[in-house]
Amino acid sequence: MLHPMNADHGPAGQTWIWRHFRLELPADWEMLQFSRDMEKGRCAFADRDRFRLEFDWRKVPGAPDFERMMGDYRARLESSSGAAVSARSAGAWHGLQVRRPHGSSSRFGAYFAENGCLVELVFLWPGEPEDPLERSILDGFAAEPETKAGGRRWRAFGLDCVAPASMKLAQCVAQPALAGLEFAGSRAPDRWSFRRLGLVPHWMKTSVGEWLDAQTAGRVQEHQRSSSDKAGHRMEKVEGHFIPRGLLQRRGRYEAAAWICPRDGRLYHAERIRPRGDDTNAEPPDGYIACCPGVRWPP
Amino acid sequence: MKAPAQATNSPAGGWSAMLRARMIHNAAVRSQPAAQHGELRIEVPTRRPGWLVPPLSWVVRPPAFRTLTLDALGVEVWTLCDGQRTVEAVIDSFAEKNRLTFHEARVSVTAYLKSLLQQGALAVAADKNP
Repeated sequence: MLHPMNADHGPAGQTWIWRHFRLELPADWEMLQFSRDMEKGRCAFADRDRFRLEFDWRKVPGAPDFERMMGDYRARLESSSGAAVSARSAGAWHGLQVRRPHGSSSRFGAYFAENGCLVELVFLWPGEPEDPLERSILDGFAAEPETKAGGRRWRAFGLDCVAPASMKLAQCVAQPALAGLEFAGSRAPDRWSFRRLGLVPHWMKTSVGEWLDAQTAGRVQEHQRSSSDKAGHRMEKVEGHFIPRGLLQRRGRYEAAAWICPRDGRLYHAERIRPRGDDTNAEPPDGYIACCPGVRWPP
Repeated sequence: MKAPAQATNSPAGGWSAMLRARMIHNAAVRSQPAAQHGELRIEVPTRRPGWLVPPLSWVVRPPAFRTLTLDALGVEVWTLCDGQRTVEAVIDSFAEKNRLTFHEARVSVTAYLKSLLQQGALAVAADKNP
């Protein structure tokens, strides 16, 4: 069984966990581009003015020959742009720094054997490179291991959640005042979804419980609603039998919870649909998402 | 190592020039509170299209104003566009009031400003001494 997570937030800056990698970044850097592809993808982070960091990953069969890679890349850079290129390294990271009159960049690569991934971090410096910041981000970057109970943690766009490691990230929504991550298992209708919604006073004209009922959209039978209090959070929950629309669709067990976090004023929504007879991960769905550091979910 | 990717190819200055711009109301716009609480109705004068000449203009009479109704969030943005605040300051105020991150507010506010600019309700304020 998966164990509910504990919310831990980095003391300085902000922790992002994406594709089973953890990044510790300055608090004002936000992810503006993302990829859900586990094999090969890219995320890009920006401060308020411009892109600052690119995080690329690619599954590879083994550790690459970094010396040769760096040598080839350096030669290409020097011949094409004539920029000042210098070699850099930090722990397992091999890199190059390119200085240009209108901004510099540093590129670092490392192989993470536990994930079988080649990771590249590209820093974009509007002026002179900031070596201490670069070093701190490289030192803070790490593979995020599977939890003891077989869960995978994701932390992005204000969402901090854990889903079973066997599930794939099926959908990610990142819009103003709406963030959502949806995970799908191999056996229909196995699906976990976590959402975080903002601007609540502007659109929510009902109670949280009524809103939660409306989310079931007639797909749930023997619908039971309950409420409870957890560390100052009023939790509304719904359980029932999931009856999908359409022919030959598999039925399942539906559980959902919603609450407004008094700390950030956002509405959190956790929804889980499990195949019938699946009794693993029996904790309620709200046990797999944390909304604020003050809240420790049930032990 | 691979070639520079998309983010690296974005404009070198990012979007800072846009953030430093200042928005001001079109002086010809008339505004009044709408029937619904918190909303604002603004009337933007329309320009007569070039093809509208007599005798067609004797028959076709386009409205002199285009009416826009701003919801409560729109009114917040509209009020902040005073020609003094930069777009960045508008975004910061909007983000703080509505508990959004900077980029959440940036995306919403700039999309809204763009639509108000296109409809002629706002203009970009220019410095007298650039």
